[in-house]
Amino acid sequence: MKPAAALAFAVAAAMAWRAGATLLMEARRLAASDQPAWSQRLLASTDARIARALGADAAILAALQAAAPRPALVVVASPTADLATLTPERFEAINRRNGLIVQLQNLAYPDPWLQSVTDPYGVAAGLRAAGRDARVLQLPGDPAPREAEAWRAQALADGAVLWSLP
Amino acid sequence: MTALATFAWVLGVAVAAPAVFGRGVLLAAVGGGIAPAVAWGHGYLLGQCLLAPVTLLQARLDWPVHGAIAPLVAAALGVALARRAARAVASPSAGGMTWTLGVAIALFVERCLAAAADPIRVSDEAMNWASKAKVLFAGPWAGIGEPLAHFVSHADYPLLDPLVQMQAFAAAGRVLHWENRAPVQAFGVALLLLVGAALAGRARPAVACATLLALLGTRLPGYGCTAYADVMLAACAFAAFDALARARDGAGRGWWPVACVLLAGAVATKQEGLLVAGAALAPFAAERALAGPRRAVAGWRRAAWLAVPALAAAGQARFVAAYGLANDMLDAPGRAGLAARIVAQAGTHGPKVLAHHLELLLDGAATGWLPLGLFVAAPVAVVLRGRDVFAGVGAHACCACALALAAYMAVFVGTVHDVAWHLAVAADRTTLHVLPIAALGLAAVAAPRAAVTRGP
Repeated sequence: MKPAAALAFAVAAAMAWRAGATLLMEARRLAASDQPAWSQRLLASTDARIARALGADAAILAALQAAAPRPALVVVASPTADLATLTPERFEAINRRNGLIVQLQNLAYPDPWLQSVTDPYGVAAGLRAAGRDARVLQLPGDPAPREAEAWRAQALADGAVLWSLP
Repeated sequence: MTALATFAWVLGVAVAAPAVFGRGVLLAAVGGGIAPAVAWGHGYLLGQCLLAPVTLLQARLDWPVHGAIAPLVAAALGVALARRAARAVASPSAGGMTWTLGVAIALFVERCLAAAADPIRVSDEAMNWASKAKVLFAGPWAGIGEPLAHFVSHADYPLLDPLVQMQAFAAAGRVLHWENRAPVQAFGVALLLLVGAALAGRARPAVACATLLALLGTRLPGYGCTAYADVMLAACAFAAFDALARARDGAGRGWWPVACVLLAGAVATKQEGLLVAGAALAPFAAERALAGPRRAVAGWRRAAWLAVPALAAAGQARFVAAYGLANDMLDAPGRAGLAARIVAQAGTHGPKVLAHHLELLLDGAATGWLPLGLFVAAPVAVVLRGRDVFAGVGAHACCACALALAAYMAVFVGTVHDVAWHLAVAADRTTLHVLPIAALGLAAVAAPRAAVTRGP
C-alpha cells in the first residue's frame, strides 16, 4: 500500500469508527424512555410546556403574572449563605431556590420584571419613596416584611405572596 | 392561534424568509451554478446576517410596522433576485452524500423538536441570549439600560443571536418561550448542508459521508438544538472559510464579498468571533500575500470589503459603550489587561490549559478526533504529496484551526476566573467553533477527491 493510500485508509477507518459511534449514540437516544412525546413537541401550548418544566412552581408563575400590574418591577430575596455554617442541605436548598428564581425571571419577563436583591422590602420601599412602583415576591420560606401592617399582601399560589406598599 | 400555528408562522417568517432572501442575494452575487445545499446553506446565513441590522433598526426606531413585514418583503426580493440569476445546479455524483446528509439533518431536526418541548428557562441559553432578545424586543428602547445591566447576564455579548430570536418575537408580536430557538437552530441545519456539500466536493465519497456523521457525533448538535450562539459562530466561521476557499479557487468574484458578510456574522455572534474570523481569514490572506506583489496589490483593492466585518465590530463596540457594558475578560476592574494576564499567568495556567485541550482533542465524544486527525494528517500529507496539499483546503483548515485553538488557549491562560472552572464550562464550546473546518480539512487532506483539483 502506498503511503498516501495508507493515510487515506487510516483516516477513513477512524471516521468510520466515529460514524458508527454516532449512529449507535443516536439510536440509543431515540430509543430512550425520557424522550418527549410528539404531542409535547408540536401541539402543547406554551403554558403546558412551562407546567411540565416547572411542575408545581408553574402555579406561582401564573399567579404572579396575573397579579402583577403591567409593567411592573417585582423584587425577590436572593438566596444568601454563610460559608462557615453552610451545610449540604442548606446548599441544596439555596441551589433549588436560585434555580426557581432564574426560571421565574426568564419566563415572566417583561410582565413582570422579576429581580433578585438582598433586601427586597428595603429596595421596594426605596423605589416607592422615589415614586416608582415595586412589589415584593415572598417565596415559601422567605420572611414577611417586618412592619407587615404597612404592606398589602396578595396570596399567589403554593405559599407565595406578593407584597406591595399602598 | 394554536401552538403549532404560531410555530409554523415563526418558521415561515424567521427561518424560511431569511433563507429565501439570502439565497437570492447569494445567487445574484456569485451567478448561480452552485449546488442547492450550498445555495440554501449560505443563503440562510447571509439572509440572517443581512436582516439582523434591519431588525435592530426597527426596534431602535420603534418602527410602527408589523415585525413580519421586513422579512417577507426581503423574501420577495430574494425570489426576484434568484429568478434573474442562473439556476442552482445539482452537485455532480454526490456518492451517497445526499442520503447521509438527509439522515444527519433528520436526526438533528428531531433533536431540535425534542428540545422544543422544554421552554427556554435556564443556563446561558436563557440568561445570556433569550433574555437579551426579550429586553431588545419588549423595550421601550430608552429604558433598556436597566434590564440590560440587571436582567441579562453578559449583556456585552454581540447581538446576532438575540436579533434572530427577536425576529421570532416580532413575527408573533409577543415574547415567546420556545419557538424563538428555531431561527438559532436553523444555523445548525445550514451548517450541516454546507459541510455536507463541501465534503462531497473535496473528499472521496466514503470518507466524506463518514466524516459528516463523525461531526454529528460531537457535542455540536447538543449545543445546536439550543439557543446558545456557539453553533451560529461555528456556522458563520465555516461558511466564511468555504466562501474564502471558493473565492481563492476562482469560483466567482462574488464569493469574496459573501465571505466578508459571513465574517461579519462571526464577529457579531460572540466576542470570540473576532478570533475565529481572523483565524479563518489568515491562511487565505497569507497565501495571497505570498503569491507575489501583483496579486497582493489587487487584493488590497478588494480588501475594502473587510470594512463589513470591521463595521460589525465597531457597531458592537458602540452598543457596549452606549450602555456602559463591560466584558469580564477584557475590562476586568482592578485587573491587568488580557495580554498582561496571559504573560503573568502562563506559568501557572499554561500547563492546565494545554492538558485540558489535549484531553478534549483525544475525546472522541467531544471532538470526534477531527482536529486531532487534522493536526496529524496535514503534516503527513505535506510530506507525502508536497505542495499539492496547498491546492486544496486541508492545509488552510489546519492553519485556521491551529490559530483559533492557540488563541483560545491564550485567552484561557489569561482568565480572570478559576482556570479549572473556566475550562470545564467553556473549553468544549470554544473547540466546537472550529470542528466543522477541522472535519472538512481532515477529509480533504487525507482523501482528496481525485476529479476535483480546485473546489467543488
